[in-house]
Amino acid sequence: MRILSITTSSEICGVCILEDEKIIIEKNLNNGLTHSETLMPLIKQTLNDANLTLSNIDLIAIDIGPGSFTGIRIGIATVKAFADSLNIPCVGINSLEGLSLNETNNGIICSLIDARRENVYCEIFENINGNYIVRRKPAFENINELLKEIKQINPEYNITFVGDGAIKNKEIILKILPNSSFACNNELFAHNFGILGYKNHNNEDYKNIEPLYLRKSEAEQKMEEKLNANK
Amino acid sequence: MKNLKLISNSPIETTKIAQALAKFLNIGDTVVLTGELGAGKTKFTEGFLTYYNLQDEISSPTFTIVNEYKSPLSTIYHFDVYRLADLDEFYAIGGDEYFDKGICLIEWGEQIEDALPLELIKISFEKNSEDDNSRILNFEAIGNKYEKILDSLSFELKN
Repeated sequence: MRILSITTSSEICGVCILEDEKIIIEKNLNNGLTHSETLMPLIKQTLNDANLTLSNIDLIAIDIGPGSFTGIRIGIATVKAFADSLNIPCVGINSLEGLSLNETNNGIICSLIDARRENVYCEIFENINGNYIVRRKPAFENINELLKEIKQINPEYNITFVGDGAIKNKEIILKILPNSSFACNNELFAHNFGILGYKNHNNEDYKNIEPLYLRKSEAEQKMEEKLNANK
Repeated sequence: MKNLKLISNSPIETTKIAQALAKFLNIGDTVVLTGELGAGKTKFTEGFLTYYNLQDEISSPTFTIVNEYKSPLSTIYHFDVYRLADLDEFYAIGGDEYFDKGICLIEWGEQIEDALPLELIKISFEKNSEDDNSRILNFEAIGNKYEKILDSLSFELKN
């Protein structure tokens, strides 16, 4: 199966073509330009370099976030246009899962994507021989509260943190969870989404692919505050 | 938190203060400007852009929400978020993604308080009832980095 995978939820605009789980070609661009300028030419160039066209693609795997709101929309809108016009099956993969594949050792992996103001998008996995099992669902959290929660469960946890949220909060992570370690690669690479797409696709309708923003809207937050106050 | 109160006796002096501040700011820094209409926020921005030699290009961001000014040192993003309905609209336009990409000057920043960086400089502009040309600029630095910048600015303006 030939897969085109795309990530646009971080600073990197990444495009990869894979044969099943094997990378044929990959281009990850981080040149400061917006993804709306970069993505289309990058897809074209990647296909050209591999001597392929979109009609040779059997599946598109797309990073649905969380991350940059505008970036996510650019990626998803592009992929939906391809899927709609060329009838290519698609699969949406969340960015935290894509990130977790950067760490290949067995054990607990915590994906952290920076969401500013001491907030992160996070998801926790356990890697058992290449099977990444979700141990804590994707969520938008304050980093201090998240770390406190993990510490309460087990302060001796040996967790590997990965992502720009891990780099940014390294000091506080080590302060609260001193047994923690950190992944070498902390960026979102297109090939991870291709690999996960290959494993997870199941003929879903592209129309069902939606951005995963995770951040609660102001209205939702106010509603929650109100409900909490009434308790 | 650290405060600094400066008196500007003319629009030109306001631009000079802004130029002096620009010298100490880098990519990723944020300044919030508050004050009533005609209090000098735009004059201040003009002065800020003068440091980057971009003063001729200034226009109001009232309708565009954000204007971009590109210089080799840093891109300057001049926001006026008055017309945004709420915080969600700010996130939806990718507003918070600008903070790391350049220097952000934000008018009506109090409307998006919960989305602003935790550390920043706030400047409030007050008219002086005794002198039409005079303005009081109240600087408030939040965070270590900005407190140091305020010290440098204060030293710079004294000399």
